[in-house]
Order: sequence, then C-alpha cells, then structure tokens
Amino acid sequence: MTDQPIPPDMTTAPVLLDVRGVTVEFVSKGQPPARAVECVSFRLRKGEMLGLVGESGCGKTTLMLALLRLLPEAGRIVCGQIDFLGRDLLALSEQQMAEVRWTGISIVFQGAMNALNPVRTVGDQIAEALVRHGTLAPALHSGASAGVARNKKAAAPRVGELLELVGIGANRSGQYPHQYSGGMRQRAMIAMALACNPQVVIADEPTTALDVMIQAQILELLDTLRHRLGLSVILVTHDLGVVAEVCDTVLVMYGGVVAEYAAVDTIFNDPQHPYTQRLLHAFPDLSKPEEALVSIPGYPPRLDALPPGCRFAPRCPVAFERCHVEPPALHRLDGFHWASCHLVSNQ
Amino acid sequence: MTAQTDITSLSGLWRGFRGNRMGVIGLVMLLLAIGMAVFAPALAPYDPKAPVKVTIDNIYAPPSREHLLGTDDAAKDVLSQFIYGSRVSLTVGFFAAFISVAIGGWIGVTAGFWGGKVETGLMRFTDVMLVIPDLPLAVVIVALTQPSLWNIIFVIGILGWTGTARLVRSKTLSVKERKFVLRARAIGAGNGYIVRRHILPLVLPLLVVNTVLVISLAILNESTLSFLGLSDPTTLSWGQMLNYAFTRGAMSAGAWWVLAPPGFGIVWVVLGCTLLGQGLERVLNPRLETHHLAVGRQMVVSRVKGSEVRGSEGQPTDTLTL
Repeated sequence: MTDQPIPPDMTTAPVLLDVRGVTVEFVSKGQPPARAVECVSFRLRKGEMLGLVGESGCGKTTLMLALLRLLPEAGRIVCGQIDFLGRDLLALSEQQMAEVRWTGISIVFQGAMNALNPVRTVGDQIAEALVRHGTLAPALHSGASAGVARNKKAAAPRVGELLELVGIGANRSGQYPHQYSGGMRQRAMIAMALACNPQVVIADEPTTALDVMIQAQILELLDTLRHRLGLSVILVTHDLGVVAEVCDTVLVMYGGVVAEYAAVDTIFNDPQHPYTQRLLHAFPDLSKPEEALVSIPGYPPRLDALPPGCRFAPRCPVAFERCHVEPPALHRLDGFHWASCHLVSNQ
Repeated sequence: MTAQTDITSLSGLWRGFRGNRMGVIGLVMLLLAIGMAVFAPALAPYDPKAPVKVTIDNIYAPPSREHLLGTDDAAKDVLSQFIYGSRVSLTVGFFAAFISVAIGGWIGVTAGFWGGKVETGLMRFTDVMLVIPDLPLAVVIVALTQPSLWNIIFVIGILGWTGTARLVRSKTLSVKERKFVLRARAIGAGNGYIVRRHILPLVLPLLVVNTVLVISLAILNESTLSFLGLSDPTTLSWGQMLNYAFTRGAMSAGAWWVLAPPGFGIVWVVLGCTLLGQGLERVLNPRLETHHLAVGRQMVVSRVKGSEVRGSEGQPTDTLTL
C-alpha cells in the first residue's frame, strides 16, 4: 500500500467506465415522458476523480442512479450504453447487475442518516454487503489472503478494519446510527461503500448537511482513500471550490444535458459554455475579494416544459436566435474539452 | 434524563415500559389471567363439569363457604367453571390473534412492498373483507362447519386480519421509501432480504402492539359466538357460561353470581390487553409521549425546580432533575 498519489493521467490510464449517450425518462400516467437526463457521455479512468456539478434538479443524482440501474419505478433508461470494464451494464441481467453493484461500483448516498437503518447497528449494516457478496478481501493490495464471509461473525474483523480505515474506532461497530455524529455517519457510509473493494465509488453529495469543518474532513478522507486504494471517484456536488481542490475532470450538467466537460484546469481557466462561465462568476473567489458575485437570473427549466432549443437559452445573456430553436450538439473543442453551445461551434 | 429509550434490546424495552404505570397494570392483569388458566387444575376447588351433589339446595345456590361463587343450574361450582373457562377464552384469543396478525402482516407487507397490481389486488380483497360484517359471517361459517374449538379459532382468525393488513401496509409504504432500502438494493440485496432485514424490523413494533389489541378483540368475538350458542358445547368458556346463564334462567332466578364472574373475566382480560397494548405503543412510538414542542416546557419546569432547591437549602446544585 502506498500513500503516494497516483498521478492521474487522463489519456493513458485504463478506462473503467465509459458512458455513452445515456438518456433517462420518467414516465407517469397520462403525461408525456419527462426527460431527466439526455444523451450524457463521459469516461472515467482508473484513479480519476470526476466532479459532477450542476444546480439542483439538473439530473445529477438521476444519472448516478442510472449507472447502477437503481432508478425509481417510473424511471427508464431509454437509450445509451454504460460500459464498465468492457461489459455493457444495460445488457446485464438483474442478477449480474446485483453482482456489479458494490463489488464494481458502489455509492455513498446523500444524507447518511436516512441511508442507515435506525434499528440496526452500523457494523451489522456494513457486514451486510460483505456477507451478501461473500468477500472478505482485506484492504486492496495488502496481499493478505482473502477469506469468505459466510456470516456476520466472520465479517466482524473486516468491519472493524473498514471503520478504522475511515477513522472510526472498531469498538463502535456495535452502536446504532443515532449514537453516531453526522460526520461519523457519513464516514460509516464511506466505509460501507468500500466494503467490497469497488473500483468506482460514486459519492452523491457526501457533504450535504455537514458543517464546513466536517465537510473538509470527509472530502480529505475521500481523496486520501482514492490515492491509497487506487479508486476512481465520481463526486456529485454543488460546491465548485471542492471540485477545484480534489477533482481531475469536471462534468457540468444543466437541465439534464452536458453543458461542458473538460479537465479541471480548463473548466476554471478557460470555460467555454456561458453557463459554466456564469456559474464560476456566481461563486466566491478568495483571490479576488473585490469582485462582485453575480447570480444567474431565472430558474432551471422544468422537465415537463423544456425549451425547444438550448436548455440554457432562456437564461443565457449571449443567446441569439438559433439558440431558441435548435438544441446545440456537444462540440469537441480540443483534446479534452467538450461544450454544448452554438457559440462554440461558430468559432 | 429520559433522552430516548433504547427500544432495540429487550432490556431497553423493559426499562422504557416499566415507567408506564397503565401498561404495567395491563401486563399484570394479563399475567394473572394467564396464570389462572395455566394453573387451573390446582386452583379450581371442584371439577367444573361434574355436579357436586344435586339436591334442590344446590341449584343456583348463592355464594357460600363451600362454593365461593355459588353454583349454577346443574349444581356445578361457578368458581371452578370460571377458572377453567379462562383456558378456552385465552387459547382462542391468542391463537386467533396469531392467525389474524400473521395473515394481516403478510398481506400488508406484500401489498406495501411490491405495490402495483399485487397491491391493488390484495387491498381490494382487504376492502371486501373489511366491509363484510364479521359477526354474521362468523355465525354462518361456524354454523356450517362443526363448532369445535379449532374451528372457532380459525374463523375468528381469518376474519380479524383486515385492520392489521391496512396498518402494516401503510407502515411498509413509508419504510420502503427510506434511503436505506435503496442502499440495501445497491448492495445487491434481493426483495426477500430487504423485507426480512430492513422492512420487518421497523414494522415489527407496530405488529406487536397490534397483536396485543387483536387478542382482546378475538376474546370478545369468542365470547360473542359462545354466547350465541355457536361454540363447542363440550368446551367451557366464559362466553358459554354467559350463554347458559342467559338461556337457563339464571336471570329470572336472580343468580347474579352465575352471570357476573364470566362478564368480569372478559372485561378483565380485554382491559388488560388494551392497557398493555397502549403501554407498548407509548414505548415503541415515543413521539406519542413527548412532542418536540413539549420539550421546552419540561425544561423550564426542571429549571424552576433546580432554583427552588438552591433557594431553600442555600446550596448551589447543578443537577437538573428532568
């Protein structure tokens, strides 16, 4: 095990997750289907941390649930392809998919209190995943022999190890969620996500409802664990500061579509999509304390009343006629920079 | 400090329950009744079915030293009948309630968890069962089948589950939307596992309370059926004692000692069940007891208490008596 950061190489590291043109619709009786996510594509390489940013309701969580095929009953993945290690997840049977969940891709849910069953101990719930998948492989790369967890008792040492990994004493595994603090619960959720040594961890707003100090701790923990265990992480967040600090690549979503997708430096230094530009302006920058914050007027589009053209057009200060009638395609600007805007295609 | 009762362990449950006086009274009442039923042969002074000695004096003999609760029309000891009668009443109550809760719980969880057509089908069936008046249907079924003890249990059991089913379904609906169910699914858990390990533990407290309340209903139903003469004539229950007292002229003979004991027994057990059920409910659902708005008032009260102590004894005290 090394604590040396793995240098994220966005061009040579093997691709773990290749998402192409995923579209998710929600169907409800007597109404036309609502498109929550449209034609989203991205690639996640080994060791990469991808930041997924966007306003509330822009389809971030829906996209993440679609990756795991855990959409609510009304949700449908109508087209697209999700390749995980060369296998199309959308073509798998429900049983095969159940195997991929947690051993391949795991998720840290938003709001840890709700994601833990209040009447069962934390350790018991972490052991759940171990027993379900029958793996007792100790922390990745440590080389110790992997056992098989047949019951909760056999899983106990590993549960303790996982809790220690996220900075919680192993002796607290017998406690109930209400005996944990908010930050500890979130840590426990991360421990749970790591239980079966997944290659990809989805962290869906892992720091919501935590104060800034705990937020920083949790993000630091995620970053440390990523380097130590060689994980790929998708970090769903509103917080651009967090993204700038820990992410390698950024996917900006707006109204269910990809607005811009690029390496983190490109997004912050050379944003092309007007939405990304406005978003950065709406975020305080400590190095320019004099600069006024500019909010983006208006609201994100409603899914049942999407504008016919570009989804950002009604709020876009630089929109022109074509923006209101024709949705822009995702244009590739250079090596690793995509943006969906007519202005970009004109260049 | 009664911050939050730890209801996840049995000892914690007992600690919380102990403080509820009415609940404890209910439990004691029920335990006394069960004790009486279990130790009936030791407690009963006479054989309840054999007439003592049929002389004219022994028919509807008022309470005396030999017969503490008098005798009935066949010169049988009423106290012994009362003691033995508790066996049938409680047996029917417990078994019928068990059947009811098992059916209701199963239907409720299935409908709530699977939803869709399964739910529609099961809940419409429940609605139909709910609107059919229980008693006439029970009378018809018992009349058509042989009126044996197990038939009575079965009939009461299969007619009494509707309330449980609806209650359990609504609880299941709310539990299944909780995040940890989605998490369990993400882990790769199947439906059966999720129901067993995540839904049931949260539905169980409701089911326990409901069971206790259904027991009292079942006992009442049994008494009603017996009173209407639909029970097995060879078994002896409180309802049947009432039936005999009613049909064989105890009323006109003014023999209140034949009527009162079984009536009192039924009230005793039903009241015990209700008190116990409500007591359990208060422990398992603490929100009934302390609303979040009530907390503020309690705190103020405790503070005033603390300052009183300080004032009267002249010594500072930093213990808040909550």
